[in-house]
Amino acid sequence: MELVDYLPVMIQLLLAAVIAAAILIASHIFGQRARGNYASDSAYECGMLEESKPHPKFSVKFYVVAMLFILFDIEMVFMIPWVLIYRELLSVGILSVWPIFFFLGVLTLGLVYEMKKKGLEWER
Amino acid sequence: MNYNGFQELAATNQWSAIWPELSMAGIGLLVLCLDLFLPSSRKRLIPLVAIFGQLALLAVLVMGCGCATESTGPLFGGMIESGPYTPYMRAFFVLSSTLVCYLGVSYLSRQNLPRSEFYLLTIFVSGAMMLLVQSSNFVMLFVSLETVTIGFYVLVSYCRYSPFSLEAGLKYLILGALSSAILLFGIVLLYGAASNPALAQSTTDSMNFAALGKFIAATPEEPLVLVGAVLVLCGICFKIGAVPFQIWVPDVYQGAPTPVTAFLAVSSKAAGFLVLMNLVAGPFAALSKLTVPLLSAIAIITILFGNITALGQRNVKRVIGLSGIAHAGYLLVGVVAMAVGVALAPWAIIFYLFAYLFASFAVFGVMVHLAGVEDEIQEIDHYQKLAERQPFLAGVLAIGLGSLAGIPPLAGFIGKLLLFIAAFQAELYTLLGAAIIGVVISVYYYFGWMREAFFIKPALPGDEARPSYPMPGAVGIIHKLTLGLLVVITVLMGLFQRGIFGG
Repeated sequence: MELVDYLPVMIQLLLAAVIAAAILIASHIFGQRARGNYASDSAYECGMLEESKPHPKFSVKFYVVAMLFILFDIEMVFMIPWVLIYRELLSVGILSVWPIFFFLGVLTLGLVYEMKKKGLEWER
Repeated sequence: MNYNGFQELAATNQWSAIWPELSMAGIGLLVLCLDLFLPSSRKRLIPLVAIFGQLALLAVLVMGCGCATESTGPLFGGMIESGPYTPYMRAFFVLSSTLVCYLGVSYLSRQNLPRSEFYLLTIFVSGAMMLLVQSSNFVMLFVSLETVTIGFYVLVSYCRYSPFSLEAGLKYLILGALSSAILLFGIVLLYGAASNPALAQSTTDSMNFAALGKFIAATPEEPLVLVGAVLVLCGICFKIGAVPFQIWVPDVYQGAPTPVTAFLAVSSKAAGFLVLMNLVAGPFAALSKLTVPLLSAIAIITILFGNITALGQRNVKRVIGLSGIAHAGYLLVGVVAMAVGVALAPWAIIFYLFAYLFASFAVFGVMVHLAGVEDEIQEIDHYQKLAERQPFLAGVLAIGLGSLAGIPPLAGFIGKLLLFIAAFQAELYTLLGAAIIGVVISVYYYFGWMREAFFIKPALPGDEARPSYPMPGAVGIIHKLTLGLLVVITVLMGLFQRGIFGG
């Protein structure tokens, strides 16, 4: 691929920058000026006073579950190429089943480990 | 699509060729299963399984070392290729891992930490190191390197309730990730350059060491190749703790649990050096105009920096860490000699690594026994009057430190001698001079440590204010046997070298 083929991408990037700059400049020129005060600086919650800090703390359990999800998700990504090529490999006599079974076995062991170590229990 | 290629690749999938690595993984999985399914009253079995399983594997490996090892050629589609050093390095990593597990037993029970994960991670990391030193493809190299490094992130911060350990873990995580990124960037540049069809000898399999070596030999002046090679070497230098990438070493060595410090000092460094040797002799062989001056400069400043900064340290773990930097410098001298083309150099490096293993584990064995609950704060003062109170430990310490310093007739002396002979054959006189100056400096701090243990200092005014450290109890029979064995091997390796590596 030649560099010229990427010209549309370049134009799009330039366009995005120009539009953003135009909006900012236009609002600066035409917009009304007001002195900043507490009300205008605070987060707008339907006219109510804000109730909590804008960065709430998540429970660490959330991260554990999220991490486990990502782990298994990525492990599934490893399976997809195998699924796509499995039939062809079989037709030329390459047995790819046992390695993948081993892989799945180790995964299952990991899952059992998580359950035994109470990694999946929400109420703790 | 052409499936013949797949068939050819599948024919090279000889699982039996990597049986030691598979056994390590098997032992690891067995430990995991035992941890899950044994009742908690029988959990004491787990370290036994881990240690004796590895000892059995080690016995088989050592018996196999004597036999002539045929080079199997590239396996797994060029991912792995076992070289002449592979059997020795396999035994090295299994031995080191066994000793780390052994030191972990008493350490973990004192610190009251979860047990089985420690053995599990140690075993998996060692298995990954065994694959790392055989990898002949940058993909395999990077994957096994990451397995090692990620295992180490956990192991370094294993002592979760100690802020030192957590700090060490964080520093190791950030700097390790940075070094992996540098290494990966270098690999990418090499990959891009080698698959450019406009250049001579370009290849479609540009991650493979052999294909890459051919390409680099054809176009050694290509700037992308030079930058890529320098970045890859920098990434590896991070792992072995060579100056100017040594910044993480003292803090991580101090904060990590003592068995993990030993693991880092011995196995991790050895793996880094084997990778460096594979690269310098393999794909970067044609770049000796670049690698020799670069690694020489790194070696000189590494030796001097490590030794000079270790002089002022009072914490023994920092002393070991900084002197480990100096040892990395001596080993780099061997790597430079290898890049010049001295046939002795790789064997000198391997002998040195083995000598370093035995001596280091002797010293670490003493350290683990003497450490209190606060593992990070092991000052040299703790060793006061050790010879009076526990003469056996003091003797082990003396021989271990003597070997690290390179005192004849111990193994460390022969290791240094072999490296210096290799450097002399390669006519690297500047490096040789720097190394000898470094050795002379190192005697000061090793012997300062020993003096603390053996000689009673005259009482100075103000000494009463210093706290006196409680001495732990007597040494158990197993610990005595293990340390005694390490010491005996250190002495024997100094006296009889013939027969260990077949001359």
